[in-house]
Amino acid sequence: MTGDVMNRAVKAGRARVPGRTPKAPRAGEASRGGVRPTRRAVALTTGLLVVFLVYSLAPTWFLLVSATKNQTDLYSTFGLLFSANHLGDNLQQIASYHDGVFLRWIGNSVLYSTLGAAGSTLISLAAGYGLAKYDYRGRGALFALVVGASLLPSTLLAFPLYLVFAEMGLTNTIWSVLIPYFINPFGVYLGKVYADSSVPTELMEAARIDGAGELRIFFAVALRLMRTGGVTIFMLDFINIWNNFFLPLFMLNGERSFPVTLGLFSWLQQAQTARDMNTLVLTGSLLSIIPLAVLMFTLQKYWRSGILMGSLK
Amino acid sequence: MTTYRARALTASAAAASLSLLLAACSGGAGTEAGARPSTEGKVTLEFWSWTDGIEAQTKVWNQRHPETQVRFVNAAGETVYQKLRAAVNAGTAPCLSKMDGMNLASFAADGLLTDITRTAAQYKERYTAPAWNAVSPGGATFGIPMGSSPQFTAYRADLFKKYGIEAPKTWDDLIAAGRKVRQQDKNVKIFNMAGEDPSTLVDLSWQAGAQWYKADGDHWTIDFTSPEALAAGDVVQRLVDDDLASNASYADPGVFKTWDLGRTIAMTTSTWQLPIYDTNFPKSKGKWQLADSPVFDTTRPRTASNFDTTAVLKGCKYPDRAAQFAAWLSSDKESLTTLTDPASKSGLFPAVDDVSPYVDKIIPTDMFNKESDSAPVIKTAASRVGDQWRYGPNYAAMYSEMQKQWGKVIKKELTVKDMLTGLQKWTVNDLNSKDIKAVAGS
Repeated sequence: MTGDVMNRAVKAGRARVPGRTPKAPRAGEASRGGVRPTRRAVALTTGLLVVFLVYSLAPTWFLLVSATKNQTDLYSTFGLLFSANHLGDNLQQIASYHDGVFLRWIGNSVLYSTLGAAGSTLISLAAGYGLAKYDYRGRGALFALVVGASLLPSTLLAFPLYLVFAEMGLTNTIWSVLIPYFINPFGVYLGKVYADSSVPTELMEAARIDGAGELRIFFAVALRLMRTGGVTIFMLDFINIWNNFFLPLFMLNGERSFPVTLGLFSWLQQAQTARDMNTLVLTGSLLSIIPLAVLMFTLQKYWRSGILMGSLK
Repeated sequence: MTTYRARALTASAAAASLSLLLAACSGGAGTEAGARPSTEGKVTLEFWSWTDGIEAQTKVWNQRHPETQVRFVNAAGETVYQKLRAAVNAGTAPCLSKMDGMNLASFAADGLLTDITRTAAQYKERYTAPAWNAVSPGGATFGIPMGSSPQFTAYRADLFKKYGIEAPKTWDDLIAAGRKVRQQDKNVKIFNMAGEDPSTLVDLSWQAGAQWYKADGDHWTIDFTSPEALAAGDVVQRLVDDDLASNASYADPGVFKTWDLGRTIAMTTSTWQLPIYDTNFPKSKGKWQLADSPVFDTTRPRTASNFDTTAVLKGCKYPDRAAQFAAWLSSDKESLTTLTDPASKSGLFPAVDDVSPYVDKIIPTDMFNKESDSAPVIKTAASRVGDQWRYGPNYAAMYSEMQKQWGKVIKKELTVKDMLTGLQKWTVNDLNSKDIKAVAGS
């Protein structure tokens, strides 16, 4: 029974969103068969893209090269070219430093990012769905508030949040970082955009006629339809949390609870005051982007269509 | 003294009431000579630091002092200051934290520390006078010295010989030597001053006997333009005007090449940096020598030093125990022997009077040639740190202000004298705007 409702609903949804699939090829045709770009335009575009490529890849290249150097070579050889390979030594040093605390940092980052992004995605989709699909007084004002809130830099909030959490006695617990991560106004904004574009109101009505409650409609119908958008929000959140620095800096005490950003920073600080750890910082930075890269590539097909979806509407 | 808003009373009151509560179950008696804490019973203190090696040492303490357990928290480096301020306001601050001298002064001025003048007095004799000054910015004591980094000079002996110059005794000598080198090769510099780092001027002023900040009864006297301060500024000005210094940035990992390849042939250095030089100077190994830092007045030789401290924060319930632990950490012979060993990676050099037991180990084996008097130079530096220098209440803010203008000095857009005159005004105004009485000295 339940599966039936769902299937019908989803089928109906597909049937009642016409134009989406046909529209895409049409857009492609237009750019292919329409105005032919001049040679200069092509050269300029390609040139700019190459510049951008170099700009984005150069730091990664530097990181890759530096991760293979020992301290002496790091300072005395040219930064963008390889010299003797010491990657093995560096990795070993990283693994053994403070009983392998680096691995723990990576683990912490994965934990905070996964839980934080999952919670935030669910809340964002639910809130966005509510804003998009229900008509009630003050909806416009609420939405404006959400959009406004997404303009506040999270760094600015770290200090007041710390005071609030200290009042509640929650500092230095996983909740002190997770709860703020759960709340993401920009995610709610995206959630509303995705709900607007992918959950047809007719479908919700059909489900209501079939006897489904509002919660059921959200979880069984709307969430599935918004999956692509959800993955995009999850990705963006995951990356944001992975790279976040100020919130854990304020909330968490002691290196065993650090995420990798904070851990690498503490190494860098050591490098400047007591002990030269720049090789470890560089190799560690390289290692710390690997999980993100893996995530990006595995979820690629989702976020590509997800990002496009927003832009088409 | 009164420039600091004293907050000591509440803390000692808390300690007293607690001692009544716990008097029945008092633990083992203190073993340190002269250390007789008034708090009784078993207590636990939190201690934030970010120096390697301290954690292991804390464990040693905990084993031997069951009545005072210290919970070590590895904080993420210097941004901890911002967090500490938040923590004190929220009431979640640790009892103790590592701090540098200038931040200790700011924290004290903002009422974020506990005045431990009375309970800490018993430890005063263990440390050098300038180290004690660093924990007592306006007269009252707010912490215990942790370590020092007295300054001296390292120079390329091979190149000094080649250019026919000797290790400079005074800053005038250094400038003369720099000119002589420049005549022979205008690409070789005798010194380095990074555009982002005005610490050279601080060091020189300290060495010249200047007192940018001076506590005078109920007010601070601010003097960036005293004859001593201007003499220090003049040395910087001559180095800039005559292009005698390179401008390699310390933020650049390639900075060591400047010296390794012989483009700059001398530098001011200190104890914490020594152990890393063997790996960072692959080409110039074995060609270096140490010498005393150049001085202004050979009859009153002074050098400068940064000081690390262990500060006692506001809200600490057992300041006596906190001070006892901090003093043990940085003055107990066994503790210092472990901590100052380069194997501990702490980079710590003691702030005690007699440093001789701790010197030999930090001298790198490959960097210096056989003629270098490394150990005597280090000992001399430790013994002649100028004891007139004070960190004032807004020193940290003044330093960032100076940092902004220092770049212009290096680019020859501003003279040192104009910068100092400006800083003088800025500092007095800033202090007065915070309701701290301050007057210009000259």
